[in-house]
Amino acid sequence: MTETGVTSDSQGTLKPHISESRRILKVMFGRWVVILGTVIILLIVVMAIFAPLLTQYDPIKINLPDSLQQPSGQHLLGTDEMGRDLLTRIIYGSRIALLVGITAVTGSGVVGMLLGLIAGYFGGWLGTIIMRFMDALMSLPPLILMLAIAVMIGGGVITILIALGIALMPTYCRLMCGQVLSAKENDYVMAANVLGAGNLRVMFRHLVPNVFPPLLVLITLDIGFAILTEAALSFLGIGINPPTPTWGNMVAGGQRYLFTHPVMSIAPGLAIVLVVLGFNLVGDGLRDALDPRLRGRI
Amino acid sequence: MAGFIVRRLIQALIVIFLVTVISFLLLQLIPGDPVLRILGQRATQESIDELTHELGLDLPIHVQYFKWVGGVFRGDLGKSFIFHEDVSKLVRERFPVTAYLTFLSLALSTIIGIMAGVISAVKRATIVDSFITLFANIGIAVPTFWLGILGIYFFGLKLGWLPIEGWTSPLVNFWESTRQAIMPVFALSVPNIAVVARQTRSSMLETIHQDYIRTATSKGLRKRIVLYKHALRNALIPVVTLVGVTLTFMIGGEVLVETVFNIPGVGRLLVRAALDRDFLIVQGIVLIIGIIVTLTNLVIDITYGWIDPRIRYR
Repeated sequence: MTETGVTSDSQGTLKPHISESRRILKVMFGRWVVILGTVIILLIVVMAIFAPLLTQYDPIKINLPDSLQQPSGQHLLGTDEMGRDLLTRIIYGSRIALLVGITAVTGSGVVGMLLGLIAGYFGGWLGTIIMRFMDALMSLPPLILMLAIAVMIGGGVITILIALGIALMPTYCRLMCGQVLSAKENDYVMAANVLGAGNLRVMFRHLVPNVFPPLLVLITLDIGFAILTEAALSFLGIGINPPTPTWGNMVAGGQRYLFTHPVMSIAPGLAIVLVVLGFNLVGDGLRDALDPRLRGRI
Repeated sequence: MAGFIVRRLIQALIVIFLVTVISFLLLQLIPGDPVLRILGQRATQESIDELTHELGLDLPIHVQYFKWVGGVFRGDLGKSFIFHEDVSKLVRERFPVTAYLTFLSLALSTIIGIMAGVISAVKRATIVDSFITLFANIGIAVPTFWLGILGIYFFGLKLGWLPIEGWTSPLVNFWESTRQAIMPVFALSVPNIAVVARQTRSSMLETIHQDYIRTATSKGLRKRIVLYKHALRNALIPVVTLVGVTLTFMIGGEVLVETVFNIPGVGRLLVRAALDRDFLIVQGIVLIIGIIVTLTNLVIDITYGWIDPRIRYR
């Protein structure tokens, strides 16, 4: 299966590189769901960057006289039990969501891919140890592994990033290892070796660029998953705690006022659904445009 | 086949060994003196020394590990300081609740997920397919805990159809137990239905394009027989492996659902322990879950090799 895939790939490289990326973009953005996903992500990014310009309220300062107001012209989504504007907190919440999602995924992606590259390229006992260790990490649900790490180190943004990074790492490592294992059998790798390229050069100049596309898809899809998991931890009170506004801890905070002020829990949850949906739609589009055969495998 | 089973068995044993290493190392992550963190600031020097010795923290680290693992094999996971009871006993008491809910959700999401995926693939590019795909896309993006809260709001508080929290054993009062379980099971299942449906759909679509399906169609078999007898059986093979992943995520979701619906299972115990920094409970639960998932994956792998002989030689 990989054999045929490789031949068609090496034939594809005969065409100039620019047309390939243009083709990918064209296929991707030819579908309205991908455009929808992109628009959602852009909106959230704009929200996160320009948060102070979008709202006149402070997301953290307590203002008890205005507490628990229903939605109105002044407070579009009402206020929470501390009198803080709910919409403002949702807007600021996008900062944590994006920060955690993007940083954790990039970090664990880099470490996981490096380990996978080493395991796949060198193999042997080192490869076995790395891969079995990843199996062990994968046998733990990401949420529980993260929770355990967060409890031991003790809460906060940095801890969450580390915990998420460790929990997400095995997928990258496995995918990279599998990709490298099949790619290193190619003639171009042997040619590079024969011509005297060192291991590092073969790995980073020849293998990584060729096996990267599926990993890129995984990264995009994982950002959504990372945001979802951080929200879950913050909801449980083990992630990032109030007063820092995160969508997860806002849903938890609104739970007590569910009967009278349902919007307090429902609105931040909707924000989570939207942003995760956005990254998933773009990730799916990217996968189908890069290589439809990956469908169902990533 | 025997060789394949032995290889997988050895692999599983190595993974279980590494799971114990990871669980052991978790306690090493605690900054500062773990004994002080476990006992709190007001601990007397005497109790500190006693626990240090009891946990074997005065020994070299590999000796500590073997001592701890020895205890684990005898079922000794240490003592919880918030409940003043053995961790293994606390987990054992709550295990049936979590296992029951997980089993129901696993069965529900596998059945509905496969059905939705097959319908979606067979009716490709119709309204039904678009609807299922849309549902699947949203289902994956929805946080389990939020889904639970939405359920509580609409079906519990607004409509008053279902109880908003609690747990009754199905052996005590089946009707009440089922009413209480509907929303948690639903919240746990939705994301997994979506995952299974997507996997089934793409695997079914891939299978439909295989040569043997074309052969079956061209020799005049009815479409139904081709689809459900020839295609579905083969398309379901990758879905079987997904059960292991689904189980892993379901156990993660269990933590959230038990918290939202106030269900006295292992998940809520874990959250309670995490909030109170009862490290030994957290460590014990991580270890037990890791072992359960590894053993389940072993069974799935062997089943997989039994259904599909090609797998055995990989």
